[in-house]
Amino acid sequence: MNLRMSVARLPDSIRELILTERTIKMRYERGEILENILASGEWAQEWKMRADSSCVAVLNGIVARFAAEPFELDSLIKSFGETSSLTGAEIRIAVARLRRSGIVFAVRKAWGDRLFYLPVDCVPVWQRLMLPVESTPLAEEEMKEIVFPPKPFRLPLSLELLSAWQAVSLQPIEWTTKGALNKVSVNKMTGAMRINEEEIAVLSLSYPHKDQLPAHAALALDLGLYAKVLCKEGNVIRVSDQGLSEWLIFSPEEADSQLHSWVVERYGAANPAHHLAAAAIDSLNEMEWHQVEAIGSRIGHQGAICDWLGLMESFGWVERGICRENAVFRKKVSHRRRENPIAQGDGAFFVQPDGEIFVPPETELRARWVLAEIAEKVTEDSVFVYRLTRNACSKAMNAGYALKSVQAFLEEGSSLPLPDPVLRSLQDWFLPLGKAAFSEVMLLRTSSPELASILKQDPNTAEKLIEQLGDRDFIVDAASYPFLRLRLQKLGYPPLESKRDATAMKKEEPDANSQENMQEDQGWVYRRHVLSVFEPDRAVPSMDELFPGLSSIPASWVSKPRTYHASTSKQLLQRAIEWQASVRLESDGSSRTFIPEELKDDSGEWSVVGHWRGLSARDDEPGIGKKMAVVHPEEITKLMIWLPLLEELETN
Amino acid sequence: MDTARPLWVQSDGTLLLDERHPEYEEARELLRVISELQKRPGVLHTYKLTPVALWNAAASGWSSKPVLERLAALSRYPLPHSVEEEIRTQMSRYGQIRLVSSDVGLQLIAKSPEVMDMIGGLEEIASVFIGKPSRTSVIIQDASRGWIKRELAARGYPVKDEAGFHAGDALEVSLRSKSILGKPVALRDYQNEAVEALLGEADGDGGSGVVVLPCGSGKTWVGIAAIARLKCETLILTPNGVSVSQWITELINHTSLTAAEVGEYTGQAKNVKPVTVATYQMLTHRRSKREEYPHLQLFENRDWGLIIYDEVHLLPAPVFRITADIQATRRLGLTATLVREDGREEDAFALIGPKRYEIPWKTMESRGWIAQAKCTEVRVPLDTRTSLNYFAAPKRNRHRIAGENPCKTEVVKALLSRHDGTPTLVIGQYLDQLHELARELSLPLITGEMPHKSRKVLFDRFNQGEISVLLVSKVANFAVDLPDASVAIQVSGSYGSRQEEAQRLGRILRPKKSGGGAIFYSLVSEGTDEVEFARNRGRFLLEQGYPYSVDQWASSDQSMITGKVIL
Repeated sequence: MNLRMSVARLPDSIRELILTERTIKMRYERGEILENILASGEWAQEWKMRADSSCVAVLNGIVARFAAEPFELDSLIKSFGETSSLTGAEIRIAVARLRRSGIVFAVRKAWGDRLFYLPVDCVPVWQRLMLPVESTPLAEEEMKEIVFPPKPFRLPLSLELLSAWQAVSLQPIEWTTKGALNKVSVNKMTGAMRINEEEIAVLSLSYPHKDQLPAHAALALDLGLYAKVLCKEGNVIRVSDQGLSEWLIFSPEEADSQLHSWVVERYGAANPAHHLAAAAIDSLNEMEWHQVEAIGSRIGHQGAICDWLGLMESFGWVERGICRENAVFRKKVSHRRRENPIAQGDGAFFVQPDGEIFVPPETELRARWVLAEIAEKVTEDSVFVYRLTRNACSKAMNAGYALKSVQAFLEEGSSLPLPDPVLRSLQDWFLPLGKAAFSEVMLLRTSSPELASILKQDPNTAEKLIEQLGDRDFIVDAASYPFLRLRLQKLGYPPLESKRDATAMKKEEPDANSQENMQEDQGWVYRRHVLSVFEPDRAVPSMDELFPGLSSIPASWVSKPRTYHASTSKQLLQRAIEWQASVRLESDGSSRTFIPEELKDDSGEWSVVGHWRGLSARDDEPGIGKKMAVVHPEEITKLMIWLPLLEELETN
Repeated sequence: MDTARPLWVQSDGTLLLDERHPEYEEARELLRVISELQKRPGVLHTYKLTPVALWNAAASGWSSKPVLERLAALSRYPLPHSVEEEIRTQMSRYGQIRLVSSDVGLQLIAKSPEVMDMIGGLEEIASVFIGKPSRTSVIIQDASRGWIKRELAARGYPVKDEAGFHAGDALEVSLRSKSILGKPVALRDYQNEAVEALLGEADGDGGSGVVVLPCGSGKTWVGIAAIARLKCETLILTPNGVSVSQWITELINHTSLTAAEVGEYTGQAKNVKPVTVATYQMLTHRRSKREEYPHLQLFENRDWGLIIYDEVHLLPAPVFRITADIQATRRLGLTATLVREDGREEDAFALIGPKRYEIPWKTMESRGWIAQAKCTEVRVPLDTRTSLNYFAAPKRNRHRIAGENPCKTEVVKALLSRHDGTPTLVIGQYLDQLHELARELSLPLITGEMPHKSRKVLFDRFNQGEISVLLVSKVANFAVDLPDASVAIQVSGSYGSRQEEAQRLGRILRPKKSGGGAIFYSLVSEGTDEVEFARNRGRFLLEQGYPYSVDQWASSDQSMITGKVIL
């Protein structure tokens, strides 16, 4: 789930708590919106500077191990395992603090278990802070040595999908109630794409009709539905006029930026390694060459980085090569939105006197869509080439264009009057079009010329008669059918109620499933975690909830080291083990932190197995190291369970 | 993206150049060297990187590094890698394999053992090796000189031929200072440069290659000057008989050669002289498909020191084959385009030689070496009777009915009246139509049925200004020199032959004494298939950079009243 949806679903109580967080409060009072604050890298940096080390360590662990994948607390604690000396109690408290800082969010599953997550679009922000890429771009001399294994040219995904969706607009994707897909329409769509199934195999997409639909087709449908360019109506997926219109306002660069976010959120986020790889790659500047290995050294998932780079290359967003036997890559486009879109010097495209139209890479999607409807596509490359032809004019006419509209569009797009030969050709080609057309009309048929004459003389009826055919029949306006029916009854000629085609007259009701909604899972590909189906967790857990039984133990157990009878010490340690908490243990006059893991009973003699937390001056800091040890009751002078206090939690 | 740059580079090697850009000239100069111009119909001109173009660039001394640097500097976007690789690969291949003469025979030398291994691994190629190759060289059969060059070029490996040429039989010949008609004889700068580019590099692989000049720029002069420089017996091959006559006339008029030294080898005459001019058609003539080509003997009849291939892009396959066997003879290809309809550009590169010289059409026009041309399509309606005939006729017959539209006659009349006194050619496809026009307008007509001598008489009279209008059939499409023709009226043409229209236009591109431009009219029957065919042909002219407009012929009565075409 992304940040916007996560914040929108926040219960008021938690929202209020988040707004009291010092770094947030200051910004909120300055008038910033909570969602924007939480998405801000600058805020994240300040939070990190002020946060305590256990919170930072836990967040680091979440980013590295889960990215945006939802997790349960136990899984998180377990994942820290041997690699950290943070106790479960510290992790639980850190997670609670991260929730109060608006960093981690939680939902409740139907049976009450909590699922925690980082909003999917916050992963890049935290990746940059927690696992920053430390890579120096290749120097100019090195760049000259890059060699490029031969690979087929790939369009940016925005244009690849536009072609696929254009195919769907001409031939919607249909399937029978038994689930058989119309292969022709699927083939038309995949035929318009260069990406192939193998190139996106790394995403392991799962979706309906998988046996009949290749993965790249599923990707085009999924992103089309999610972008609302496509809509599902019963057993048909077609282009949605409104969704298309909203999508076409983008330039390819803007569309790619949006698609990149969705690709990461919808597919990359399903695999934390891919998600981190995506974030790491995205953190680099475009057009700078980097070594793949340098990225992986910090992120750790070399394979995932290669997988993701391969995918990005197929989507036309990344280039890869070999430099001095090292794999290198660079981003071709920035997926961060530009403050100032690139200004175009000329029109959106060039119309040549020979009827060819050259479309530069930055031309917006709307012009490209219209060009595909009124001209034949000749070349799909960096510059697209279309050609005006007689057949294309016929196609354009059927799509609702006329000479004037085509001329106006081309002149506006090229910022010039059409060259004479082009205008002349269009005039020639449009001239014979639309002169004849089939039309379904409503016929009012009378039994005799006499009755026809009577109807013509009735002024109320006559004004609804559009045209007389022969001496007995009239074309009437279909909308006036109810009126004419009553009028004829009044005139004493009640009309026969012929069976009318209910389907033809029925205004198509939109499928309930086609209603556009803000559901997170609107698409075609099955998603592993759809958090929006769960209720947001309504409260940050109290200390009692974090540490069950806290209120029923003597307060001294958690407030001050004291001397206890061995049996009490055993109980105290038992409780600490249950809470996965550390204990403050005094022995031989020195006080140290011990993390108990297991109580052992040997013929009535007990001992506790665990590890000491560090021995250095900073030995109380978590994550310093582990020393497994066995402590016997006689070694314990004073003891307390060490927990961050409730007050501390409340005020921090 | 850098919008301040004039070039888009596509991943398939297509280059789009914006002619409005201040750096256009600089970019065009580079593209002229490394690519083929495909079309220039509007502000964006289309070029294409091809292996042959890149080999040609390498042959003229370029390497991939400066090419890539300059391309990158001119391009709006980073160069596609596929293009960078293609440029590096193709340009580095030129010079990797060389042919040299040695004491022990013709030697093939590879730049590295890897290249030699690659060549040796090609079974067919290895079949002409004599003995075992050393690490980087091998002796090959003398007779395979052309064949091996063609085969390796077809596999993407050009061979630099440094084996030299034999001189051929000497011939005392020089350019006259004044022509027989008393006009001064002087080569233009670019013609001199072309000859120098062809013959200048005596010790490298120079001495053989292709000169690319636009229609009307005087390619014949380059050939004549090369003969005068080399002073050797020469065989000249041209596309048709009229062109043979014109070569002979030019040679006799402008060089010290006499009629006795220049022979014609055509269907009409078979005289083999120190300089012989023949047609491709004659060389490839044979009685049956099973027979060898008897006239190819011409290549061996004398010890030619130079062979000139006029309109080399039309060179037929059998002539290519024989050319492979005469690689020790200097060869000069003359053409307006390197693009062959059959796509055998590699053959021309391997067997004739690299492009040695090219000058852009626009430069020629701006310097006044060729006339500026205006092309106008005139739409002529069918009369009622012809219209009914047209629509009742089977599709295969319609083109002719539209082409022979009788209403075109009055348009021709009006146009001739409009350009009264201006040397004008009326060109047609159908003899019946041309005869009818000749009868109705009392104009002289040249067709293929007419003996060459009679044709020549009429062409000469036209050139000397004795007659101002000539009706001609398609015999005048190629290589006919009518320098003063300023107006061409095409009354009918073949279905969609774009080449034909360009060739016909080429007839009127010679610079005019008056300094004026040339006008090309194409008459097209309105509402018929001819319109679409004409559109295709017109598109080709537009792609070549000629402005092309369409006008409507007003009704007969109106035109009679106004007495002119409504343009």
